Order: sequence, then structure tokens, then C-alpha cells
Amino acid sequence: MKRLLSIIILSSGMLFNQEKIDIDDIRNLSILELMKIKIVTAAKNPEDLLDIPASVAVITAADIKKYGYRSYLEILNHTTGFYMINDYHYLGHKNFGVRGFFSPGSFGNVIILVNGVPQLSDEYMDYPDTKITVPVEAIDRIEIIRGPMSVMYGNGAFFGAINIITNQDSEKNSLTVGGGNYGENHGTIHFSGKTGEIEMRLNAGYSKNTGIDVKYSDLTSNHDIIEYSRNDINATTKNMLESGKKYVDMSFKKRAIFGLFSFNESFTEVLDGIPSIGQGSEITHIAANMNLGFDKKINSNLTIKGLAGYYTHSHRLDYERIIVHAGDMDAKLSRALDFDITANYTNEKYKILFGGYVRSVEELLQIADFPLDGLNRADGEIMIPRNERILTKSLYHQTTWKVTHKIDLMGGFRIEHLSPYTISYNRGLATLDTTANLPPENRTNITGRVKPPGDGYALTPRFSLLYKINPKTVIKLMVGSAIKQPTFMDNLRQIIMQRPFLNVQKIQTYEMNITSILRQNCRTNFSIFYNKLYDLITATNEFSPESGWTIFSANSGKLTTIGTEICTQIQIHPKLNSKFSISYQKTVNDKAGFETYKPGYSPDLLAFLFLDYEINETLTISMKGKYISEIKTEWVTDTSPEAGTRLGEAIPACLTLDGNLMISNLLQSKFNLALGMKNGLDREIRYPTTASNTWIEKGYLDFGRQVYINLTYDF
Amino acid sequence: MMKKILKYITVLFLISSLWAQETEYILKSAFLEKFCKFTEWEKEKIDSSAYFYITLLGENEFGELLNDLFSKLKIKDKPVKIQYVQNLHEIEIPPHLIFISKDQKKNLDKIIQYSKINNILTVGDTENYGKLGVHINFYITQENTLHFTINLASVQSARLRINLLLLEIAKVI
Repeated sequence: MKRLLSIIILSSGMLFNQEKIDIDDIRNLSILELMKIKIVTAAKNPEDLLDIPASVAVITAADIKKYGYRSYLEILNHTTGFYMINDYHYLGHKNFGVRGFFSPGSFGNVIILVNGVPQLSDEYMDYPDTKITVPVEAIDRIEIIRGPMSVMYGNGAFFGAINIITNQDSEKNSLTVGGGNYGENHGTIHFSGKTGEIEMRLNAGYSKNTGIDVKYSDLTSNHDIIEYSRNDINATTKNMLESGKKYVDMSFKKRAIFGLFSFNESFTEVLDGIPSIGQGSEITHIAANMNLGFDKKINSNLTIKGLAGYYTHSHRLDYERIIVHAGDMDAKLSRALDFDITANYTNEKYKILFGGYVRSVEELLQIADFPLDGLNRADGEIMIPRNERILTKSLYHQTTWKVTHKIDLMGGFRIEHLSPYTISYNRGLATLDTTANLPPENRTNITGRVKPPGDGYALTPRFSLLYKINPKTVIKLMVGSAIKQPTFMDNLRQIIMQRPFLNVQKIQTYEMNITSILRQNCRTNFSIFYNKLYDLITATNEFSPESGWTIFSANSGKLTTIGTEICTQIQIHPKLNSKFSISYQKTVNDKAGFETYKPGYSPDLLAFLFLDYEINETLTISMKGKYISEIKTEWVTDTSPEAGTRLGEAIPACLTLDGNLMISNLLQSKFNLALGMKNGLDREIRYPTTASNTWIEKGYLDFGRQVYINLTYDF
Repeated sequence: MMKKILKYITVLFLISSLWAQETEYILKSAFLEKFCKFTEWEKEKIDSSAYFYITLLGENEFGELLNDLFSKLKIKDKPVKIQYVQNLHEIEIPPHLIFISKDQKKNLDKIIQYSKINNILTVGDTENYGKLGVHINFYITQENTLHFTINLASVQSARLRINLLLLEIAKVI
């Protein structure tokens, strides 16, 4: 900790994307030229951010280049309040905890949008990184809105929304290639054009890496499981954690009409339950999104926007466990449609928004086939029948009232309705070749109708008050809530176990935020928040004299987090920018019987430091650092709470540092070169074990020191 | 531990703030010079003074920028003197240009009246200052560039003439 403080003190604060100008540089400019100089980037328009009733962070393409970010996940991992846990999970490796709360599985606590389009996976209502493959070079900016955002974005926006924008800058064309150690290589093209009134954009990219190569015995002390998996005790993860991604997006705009298309494909090798063998277990995701929308200004006060989408998503997981080419397989296919319409009315006093949203999951099918695992395992198919759909309808409203020139009041609500739907679960039926000859006693056919509690209605309110102490300082008081519906798979589990249907999970947040631009180049953002999460779906243990201890899912989880965040951006010198942020949070488990056990995956302290220095017009050097305090694993029990144990070892505090050197207009050409290093101190980066791979009790390992080179050609 | 961290942050924050350069005000300084170039005062106003006077009225957000820029320049063939005052009563010699800070909103009527009588160009950077009679008022566009409004009626009532080029590129209100 002392070391962290020293670094903060010595280097001080992060990016503040000002144009670097000096009085002597601009004396000879014409008045027209002066009018073209940007005083702050669009991303950091102070007035915009001051007026938003939420805690907002914006990362621009310039930030991405300057700090050498390699993926949007790395950006999230360096965002105040966010911390990554990579658990080699079969749906998506990288999940995030936010403000002290982490939900195992793939990432589902924050809505992720690309160009305003939700990237939802309907099966688990999550946003797996394996489904969202947008390369970092295609990104014009990322907006990260923290706080419960269900009023605007609906189900799942527990901790906010992230919008990745790739179609904003219509004049930038570039081609990037790069590579590094761990077999990393990638390429991206970013192209824009205009024909008459039609503006078009194209982004395409691919990336690949070989993953880490460590001994299984560095992940677990359980040598039995290594041997059980038919691995040698000295076997490693070489070729077991490779991954690759492909991405294409195209967009067009003609007057008020616009269209978006994106294609995401990825392969990711995973560890699921036991060590892999052979070429490794691999999951392939393919997702395509097609959207058509309009954005029409009816008059000076009224704007109407609409966006319709069609989404397909499939994945196939081929296992290599115990036997090479075992044929074990898990596959999924889903198709969905949605439509969102909003009307915005604005005058000097009011901003009024009305919206409606409909999402219909037209097809959802999952097939699991484990021929070599024996007849009693999970062979089977899960689906919504062909004449059924999962239909969600929402109406939402938000009004901002400018009470005085110093006070804004904002209130809003969303009513969401989930219609009943049917789930069919067939196991051991003849639909799968490998189980065609199963005897009837090994077959199961369960069909259940999901009837969401409360007749399927959920209400989420939101309220905030903005008080402008002066034009450069705003206090925001925000009260909000968000919901997360039980997923398709949660409901299936209840049907099979003949348990009552689960209620929506809820979060209630109270936050005070002070955003202040103390001087033009010095901004600070301070938040205190209190989050109450309840009705969380967790494993619940119940004892009865007849059947002993039983475990089932119920809305029994309760957590409370109180925390504070401070983020300061300072332009120390026209050529030296700095930013630092610290989050300190305490999370308490309020679940009955578990009050004395600190919740897992909830570090108390997170700190970030960013520095960049412009050596000259073509050379910029930057560094960023991250500190995370100790993370404990989950407290689990098969019986009573006091008989439980931690799932794995606690992960000690860790400090990582990255550096990047950017050379623009290399040798006065249109080439830009970036050289960089991640985890420059070569620290052992570990993440705490989760239910995905309880055998990795020592914790999941991530990359050691990474070096890379990136060459971009702007045209 | 948190107390320590917050203490260090505060110290660092204050030190760094002092070092911070006012990028926005560098641009505004350069614009002020252009405004002087493209404005005509009454001949007597210019001839009767040995210096070209610029007064900054209210909170000084330019720091030393105005001194740095105008110490090297002549306007209307005269060396420039910068005066920093907190209210109208402190002004000894009616200047040629007054930059009106945000904190002077409540005194705006008097300042505009004073400039009207004394043939002074007024410049501000506060929302609605233009509509309230300030001759030239800066605003930030959606593209984050610095533009300005010109209140033509107010300019004329102060017996000033603004070059057509400036009127063409400004938002005239």
C-alpha cells in the first residue's frame, strides 16, 4: 500500500484530453483557424457531463491510442469501480465485479450496447465477452454510465450501461496490424465513405492469441483431479486456453434513416469442471445483429427515434475432457426481435421522454450431448416450443424539470412486463443420435409453463436532483433501482426441481456525486454510494427431519455496499496529463445465517493511475497502473452456514503497471507506431476461483508480462 | 489508511491545480487580440490615450496570460496596459476593452451603461451575457470549439464599429 501511495504522490494524476496549445503557437493563426481549435474533446464536454444525472466516464479513441488499450475489456478493467475476474468460464472468460458486487457466470450486471444496440444473450441474460468481439481500433468512444439504469435500459442494468460507439467519426480511415508475445496478432480496418446523401462506415477486425502456458499444478493442489482428467502431473495449459475473434460492422445513414449490421465470431478455449486434454475444449460463438432506425426531428422541440433489430446468436462447445475427441458437445441457438421507440420533447424548462420497448425471443434451443459420460448425465435438449416466445414489453418515461437556473429535478419510471412462456426439457429422447436407443426409463420429458411472480410486472423508479452551486460545480443526488429477471435457465431449474418461480432480483441505490471543474484543466468527481441488493437468486440450504439438507435456488441473497469514489483529472502541464481514482467500498452479506462471512469477490480498495506525456508533436509516452486489494472467494456450504468453507484461496493485493509509446506520423508518413508493455512488473495476476472451476482453488492465472507492437496507417 | 490517501490526494490536487494551464483562456486571449484588430473606436478615444487599455473586471481566470500575450504586442500602434479590477469604481481610466467575468452578472446593467458612455468594447464568456447587452460573448459549440455572439445593437449604441469579417463569422444577435 505504501508503494502505491508513493507512486500516486510522485507521479500524480491522468488524461485530460485538451488540445495542446501555447499562446506563442496561436498568435499567428487567423480568427477562422482559432474557431476550429477544440478546447475540450467531445467526449469530455464538461457541460454535458455536469448535466447528466448519473456518474459518467467517457473514453475516446485518442485515449485508447494514447494508453495502448488492447480491448474494450481492458478499458473496463481500468474504469473506476470495475474489476475483472477471468474464470475461464465456458460462456465467456471475463466477468466484472462492479462497486463491490460480482455475480459468477458471464458478465451480466451492466448493459452493453454497441452503437446503441443491446448485445444481450437471451439464455442467461448476459453479455459474454465471447459474443461481443468489437476490436478496440474500431471504437470512436465508450460511454460508461454507472448507477442503476433500468429506467432507460430495462432488465439487467444493475450497475449501469456501457455504450461502445464505432460509427461516430465519419472522416477517419485506418488500417492496423499488430502482434506481441503469447502468439498475439491482430488486424483491423476502419473505413468511411459518402455517396450523395448516404454516409457509410465499415469496421472489420480479427485477433488471436495462444493463451497462458502454466502447469495445472500451479492452479490446483488437487493432483487427483489432474490425474483423473488423464493428464500427467506436469501437464500444462499450453494450447488449452487459446482464443480468437472476428468482427465486422457496417452502418449507413441517410437523412433521418440509419442502419446497422454487425457480425461477431469468436473461438475460446475453456476449462470447464476439470483440466482439458488434447487440443483443449473450445467454444465457438457466432452472433449477427441487424438494425434499422430513424431519428427524426419533428420540430424544434420534438424528436422521435425508433430502432428495430433482429438478432441471432449460436454457440457450440466441443469438449476435450478425459478422452480426446470425446464428442461431448453443448450447443445453443437463439433468435430475437426487438423494437424501441422514444419521443423527446425539450423546451427551456422541461426535457420529457416517453419510450416503449418490445423484445421477443422467437427461438431458444440448447442441446447437450455427452455420449461418453453415461446415460445418467445431461444428454438432452431444452427449448421454448416452436409456437411459443418469450415476450417482454416495457413503457418508460423520464422528465427533467429545470426548476431554477441552479436546480434540475429528474424523475422517471419503467414498467416492464414479462409474459408467461413454456419451457420444454427432453432428456434421453430419440432426437439425438447418440441416445436413440435409450430405454424408456432413462428418458425424461418435462414441460413447464413459466409464470413470473407479480403477474410478470416489474416497476423501477428513478429520481435525481442536480444542484449547480456555480457553473462549474454540480451536486447530484440520485436514487434509483434496477431489476434483473430470472433467466430462462433459472426458470428451467425451478421447473425441474418443482420449486416456485423466482422473483426479479433488485438493487436500490442512493448516491451523492459532486462533479467540479475547479480550473479549466482540473476536474474532480466524488461519489458516495449506498447499494442494497436483495432478492438475489442464490443457492439456499434448507433442513428438514425427513429429507435432511436440500439445496435449491431462491431469492434469498442480500448484500449491502457502502462506498466512495474519487476521481481527479489534472493537466499538470500542457504536455503532461494525469488522472487518478480511488474506490473504497465495504460489502456486507445480509443473507440470513451468513452475516458474519465477508462476501466473496468484493475487494475493499481499487486504485487507478494514468499519466501521459507528450514529448513532442509525434511522440507520446504513457503509463497506467491498477491496484486491487485482497479478494476472498465465496463462502459455500452444503449444510448450515457455520459448516461452510471458502471456495478457494484468497487472492492477495496486486499492483500492475502498463506502459505505451506512441509515435505518430512515423518518418513524416501516415504511419503511426505503438510499442507497449502490459503487466510490466511481470506480477502474477490471479483471480479468485468461482463455481465454474472449483478445482482451481489457487485461483485463475492471467498473462504475465506482455509486449506488443502496433502499426496503423491512416488514409 | 483512507484518511491518509485522501490527504495525499488533496495536497496533490492543490499543487497540480496551481500548475495547470488554462487552455481555454489561451484561446480567449488570442481572440481578444483579434477583436481589437477588427474593431474601430472613435478617433478621439484612441488618440487621447498613450496606451491601449484592457480591463479585466471581476475574477481573473486568465492568470498571467493577458500580460504574457499583450506585453509583446501593440494595438492601434499603442502599447497595451492590462488592468485587473473587482468592480467599476476601481477603474481609473476608462479602457478600450472590458472583459466581464461571470461573477459580474448582477452589475451587468451598470457595466453596459458605462461602456456605452465611454465607447468601450465589452467581451464576456457567460451564458446570456450577449442577450443582456455584452458586445461579444464567447460560447462553446457542440464540437467544443470556441465561438462568439455579437450584439450588434449594443455595439452600435456604444459607437463602435465591428469589421464585416467578424460579423460574418459570429452569431449576430
